[in-house]
Amino acid sequence: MADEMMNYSLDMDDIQSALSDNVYENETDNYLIFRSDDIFYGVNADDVDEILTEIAVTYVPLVPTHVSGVINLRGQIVPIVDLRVLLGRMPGEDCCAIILDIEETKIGILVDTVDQMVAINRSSILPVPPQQREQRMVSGMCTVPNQAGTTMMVLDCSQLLH
Amino acid sequence: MNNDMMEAYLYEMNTQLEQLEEIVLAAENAGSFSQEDVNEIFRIMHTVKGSSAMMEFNSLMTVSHNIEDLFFLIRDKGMDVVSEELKPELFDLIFKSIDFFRGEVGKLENNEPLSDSTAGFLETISSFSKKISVQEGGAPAANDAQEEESAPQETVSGNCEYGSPDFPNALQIFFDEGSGMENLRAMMLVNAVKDFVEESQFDYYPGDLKLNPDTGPFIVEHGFYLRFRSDGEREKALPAVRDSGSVRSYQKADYTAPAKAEKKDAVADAPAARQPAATNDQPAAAQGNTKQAHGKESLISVNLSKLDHLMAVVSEIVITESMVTASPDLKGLKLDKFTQSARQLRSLTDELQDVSMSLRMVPVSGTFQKMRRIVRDMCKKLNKEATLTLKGEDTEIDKTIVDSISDPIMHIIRNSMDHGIEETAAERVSAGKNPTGSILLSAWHTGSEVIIEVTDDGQGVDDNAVLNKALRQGLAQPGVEYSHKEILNFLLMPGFSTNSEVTEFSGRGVGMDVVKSNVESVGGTVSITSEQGKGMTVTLKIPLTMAIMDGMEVSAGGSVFTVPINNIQQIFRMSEKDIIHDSTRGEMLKIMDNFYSVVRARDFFQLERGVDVIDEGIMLWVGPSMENSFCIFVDELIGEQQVVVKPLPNYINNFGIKSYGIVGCTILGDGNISIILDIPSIMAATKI
Repeated sequence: MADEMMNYSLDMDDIQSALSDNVYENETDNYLIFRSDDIFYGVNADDVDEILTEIAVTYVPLVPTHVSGVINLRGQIVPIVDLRVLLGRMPGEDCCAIILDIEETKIGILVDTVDQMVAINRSSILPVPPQQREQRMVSGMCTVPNQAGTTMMVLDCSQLLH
Repeated sequence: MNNDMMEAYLYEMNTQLEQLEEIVLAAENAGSFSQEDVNEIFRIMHTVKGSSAMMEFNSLMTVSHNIEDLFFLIRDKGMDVVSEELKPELFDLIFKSIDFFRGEVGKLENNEPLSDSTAGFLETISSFSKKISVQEGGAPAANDAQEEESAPQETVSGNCEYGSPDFPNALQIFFDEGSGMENLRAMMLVNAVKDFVEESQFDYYPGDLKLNPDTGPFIVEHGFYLRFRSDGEREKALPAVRDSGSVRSYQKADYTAPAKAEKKDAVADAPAARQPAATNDQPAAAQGNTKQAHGKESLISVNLSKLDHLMAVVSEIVITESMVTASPDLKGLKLDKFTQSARQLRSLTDELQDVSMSLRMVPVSGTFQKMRRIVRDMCKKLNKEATLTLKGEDTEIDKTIVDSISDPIMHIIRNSMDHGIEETAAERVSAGKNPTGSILLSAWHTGSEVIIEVTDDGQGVDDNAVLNKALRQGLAQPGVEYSHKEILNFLLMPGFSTNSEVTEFSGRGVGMDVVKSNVESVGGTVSITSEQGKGMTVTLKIPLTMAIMDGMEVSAGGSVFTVPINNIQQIFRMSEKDIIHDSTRGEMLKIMDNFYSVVRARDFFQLERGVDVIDEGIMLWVGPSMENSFCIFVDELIGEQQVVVKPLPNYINNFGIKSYGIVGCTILGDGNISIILDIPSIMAATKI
């Protein structure tokens, strides 16, 4: 599944409508799970616009290092943020960009791989232990169902913008 | 309220008011209204009244109604009814009413409530009307006019019944007494009836409600006739008539066959009788009306955001087109047919781009006309005499730019009136000039720019006074020799205003520096030339459009930058030994007997890579003017290109890179992005 996603840019609406058959409860949200520097993160699928592979990022001078630059998304100029650098890790081999639409603003994040889309019950998202609060951009965490032992950090998208 | 209707109303009001102002200004110059002017003003007020009533803006309606009445009087009695002493008062009255309407329209545009205190203003109008009426009693000419007018009306009333053989069953309708605007009410009634009776099943008399304001008085006198094909249709229409708020009474009147001969006469007579009533002073107005109608049909108003969108889409098409035709997949293939079609597509997209650009272009005449009013008002206030001459009003410029240069031009004109033109005519005469000052406002195209120039023949700039002021304000260094040009530049600096006292028009704490910053915000430049005693010229150079510009693509450290061509003085290769070093590791170049500092793009933008050896890179000499310039050192020259300016995302702009000259970007033919540099910002950033 991960391989497939890497090769095309996928329309999230298609994925969601395919998934919605499996969703019975209103209490669940769809999350897109991706990996950045061996940590699994998840973003609410409502915020995701599309996934891009093969992107040409144009460097913009004099901006903080976590801003990789801008891309031309069908004529729209979209800023790209390197999630690794933003979260204080070393830059690595990023392979794809997730384009998010947060508060009507488009912004892309560079990640290692996109993993899968899962439906997650809201109540299963647990708070981050107080000792770990230093890590930024994370609003909660949860164990991914059907996948033994995988824990994902819920990315707080609105913090990306501010 | 319906937004489209509101928009249409505001648009109409603005055009009508502009037209009105133009007429009154011209008339004031001529000293009197021509009959044609009077008709036109009458027509404009009538339109304003009608549409205001439709929108239920009562204050606007009442005021325009009163002015219409006033001009009705003038139109009937001729302009002679207004004596010479009263004419200036009349002009002022109309200017005041234009201001009143403008103010109200402005409130509507900003969604503010309309003012309801029109009583004082109405008082002024009616007292003026009274003055005229009093005078008119003594004027024999006016009496003649009155007789002329009343005669045909009697003929009409004698013929009473306005039947028609095709529509025999009529309703004679009288509106409430003194309700005003009978023809408009009739029109609304007709529209209401249309809901009940098919349009082909009835007609009405008088028929030309919209075009002929004289139908109002006719309806008051003889009633308004709705004529139906059958009695049944008439019955259907009755509810509409009964429900109409302003109908006082109605009665059925049938057209009867035996009276045919008589009726025919009546029908024949009526137009003939109506004609003279309308004619004498009407032809001009009627002509004006048809002209107006044609003009309106060929014009539509479009929301600017739609044009912006169109422009954006067209730019995308242009870029996509070159992406398709230059696709690497096509390399090495022999594609005769494809190349042929591609060439055709190219010429079509070019044309499409030109057309969509031209949609945004508007003539500067609207802005220029406004200045007439400024000059007029200031002449009165300052007790000076000056004429404003306009040249090149049909020069076209991007709509968004027109809006942002209106204030600067106004400020320059005020400045010329206030400081330029001499205090008294005697001063001018003793200087060997025409006692009346003259200000020339002109516009013309030069390639990619529009030049707007304001020239006055006033006293010009007193270098010493300006220098002293600059010293006092701390703008100039004491003991330094300043050239004439440098002294003029002080005028454009923030915090400089030569007039010590604040006047009503200029010197409201803002000076020419506001002009400068406004013009620069649309990518233009300001320059001043002046000769003491002869006058002053302020020149604005404005780019035709901000959306598309000619850029030079350069590369530095692997990034592509676009430098606006109009900011490039020269491009050359230099060698290491041309560079002059100073003690702070700064670098300079000597070009044409002047020293200019060198900014290395790699250092300035903190790029990781880039050419260091001067001999291997390219030197751009950039700046809005020779005096105001410096050199940028980049890696390579890529080429000249027309680019579509796009803003950077806000997320990026929030990092404050605008002050370092990174103001926007553009998508190149291959889909890559190039950063657009703003030379003045880089210059400002390097000065610190």
